[in-house]
Amino acid sequence: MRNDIKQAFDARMSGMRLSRARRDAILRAAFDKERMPEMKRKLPLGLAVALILLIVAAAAVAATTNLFGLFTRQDPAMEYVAQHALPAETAKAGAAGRIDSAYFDGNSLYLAFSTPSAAASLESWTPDEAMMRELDQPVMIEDPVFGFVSLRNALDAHAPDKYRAIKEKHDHGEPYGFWFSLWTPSDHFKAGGWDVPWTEMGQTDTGGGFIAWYVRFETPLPDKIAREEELDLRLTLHQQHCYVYFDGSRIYARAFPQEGRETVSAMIQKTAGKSVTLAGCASFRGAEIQAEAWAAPTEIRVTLRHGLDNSPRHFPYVDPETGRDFSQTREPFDFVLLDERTGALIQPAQTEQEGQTMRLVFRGLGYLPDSLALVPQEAVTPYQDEAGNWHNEAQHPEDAVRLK
Amino acid sequence: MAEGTISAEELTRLMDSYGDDLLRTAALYLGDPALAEDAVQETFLKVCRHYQRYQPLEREKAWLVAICLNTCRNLRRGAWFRLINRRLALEDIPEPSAEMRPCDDTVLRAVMGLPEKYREALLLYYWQGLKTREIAQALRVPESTVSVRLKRARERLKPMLEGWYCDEE
Repeated sequence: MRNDIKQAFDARMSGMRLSRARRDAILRAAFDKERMPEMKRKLPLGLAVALILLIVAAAAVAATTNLFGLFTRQDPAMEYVAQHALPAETAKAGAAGRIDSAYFDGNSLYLAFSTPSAAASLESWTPDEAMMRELDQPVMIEDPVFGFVSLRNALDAHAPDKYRAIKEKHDHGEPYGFWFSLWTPSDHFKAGGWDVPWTEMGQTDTGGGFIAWYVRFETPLPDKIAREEELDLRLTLHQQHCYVYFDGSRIYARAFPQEGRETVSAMIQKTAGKSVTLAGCASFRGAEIQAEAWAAPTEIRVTLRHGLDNSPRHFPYVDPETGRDFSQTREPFDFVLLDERTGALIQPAQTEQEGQTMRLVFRGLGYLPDSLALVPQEAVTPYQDEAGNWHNEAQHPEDAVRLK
Repeated sequence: MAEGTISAEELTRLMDSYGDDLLRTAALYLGDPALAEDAVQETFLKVCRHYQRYQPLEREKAWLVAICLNTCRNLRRGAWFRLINRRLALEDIPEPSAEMRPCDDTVLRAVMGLPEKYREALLLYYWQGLKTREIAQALRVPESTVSVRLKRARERLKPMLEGWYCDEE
């Protein structure tokens, strides 16, 4: 297999080489003490761009007490966070951003903050010749107007004149251009002076002139952070100017980092976290399975010790979203979590296997469970409802490993 | 690799030896050949800045790949990546040089169809020749996780490539 893969990729990628001009630029930047070339972020050439629809109706803002409420859709763990997050005591707000609220229980840490909406800063713009050279790569964007769906929707809702003007020009094949300012957080979030790694980040343009963000940090939290009763949380926001130009047939886009940056900070109070430890055992395929779990409304961590043959086999499974049939895919022995209140089967977010010990991490159920049911993957059966939608069902719940 | 500060000759040697491999790896990771060039440039500038940290016991290729993937990760967290979702299609990769044009893309399509975490471990192992310990360092995951991902990647590939290749591992 090694030779097949190496030969195939060596051959197919052979046209991609680090150019002489780029090597010279690196040497100049490294040794000529010139200003280091800025990292350029371009939209990709020739990519079929699937766009992320992030916009949420502005009405949703009014219905929530904190910004987490904008991200609760189909995520019970986030619903719990939205209900139990505490407002942040802003120590330092800037013109560009503000920390809104946080959920911190010693195990999990979630943060919500806001930055100005890109739509609010959008202005018409026509590139000069020098700028056209910078925008040298056309971008394939599937969207009929432009690729930034959240920006487009925010414009459509709150600046309909700007939106209509752009759309009309696009529809008639007339050139148009615009630029906007985008504030994004640095990758480094500090809590009590320590860098806290994060695993998930989401954003949505609220339509109210600002973008709401949430961040979920890695668990378990480092001990020095988990022990604190309050956290001094700070983040740095960076500004980019983004330019988009349509020449009548092709779209060009480019973003340039700006000098603008600001740090915002707030004090985060710890909230009482709830968790339970559960254990159970079961016999399956003639082998004993022992299970232990730590469960909180936001996360469930399970350790399974089993004496099962772990060789991969075919399991029936159809992805409910895509309808893609994975039944011919051979998978190792695995488990899914059955939410017995809703009947939903939850795939693990993270799986680790060492010999016959398996560690699984699931998103929380949004409540503190007094028992858990882990269903072997091979006991899950896909079925199609009358509307043609695919579902997966635990056909033999008696095969579940029950933890109490 | 010598200790201390890096010379222009040494940097040139590193670019000659590994520049293309890093560019290709970054392109597959980022899904954007143009952004990959920026990532490789930043990688070599980081190498210059942190050259004194290089441990002679490490393989220099593994060290460079780890820096490159870290740079790519940071880029992926950047503004553009939060606005768009990208998948690199084979058609987006520049045409191969004529003498290396592959006659069959079955393997390529099978590998590119793998979930990302399996694909990146598989490519670093089989294509770039890194050891599992080196991949674990580059991807910042336990070595056991790399082994599991490789195993699962192989298992997923086998039915797709059944009868296509003959050497088994």
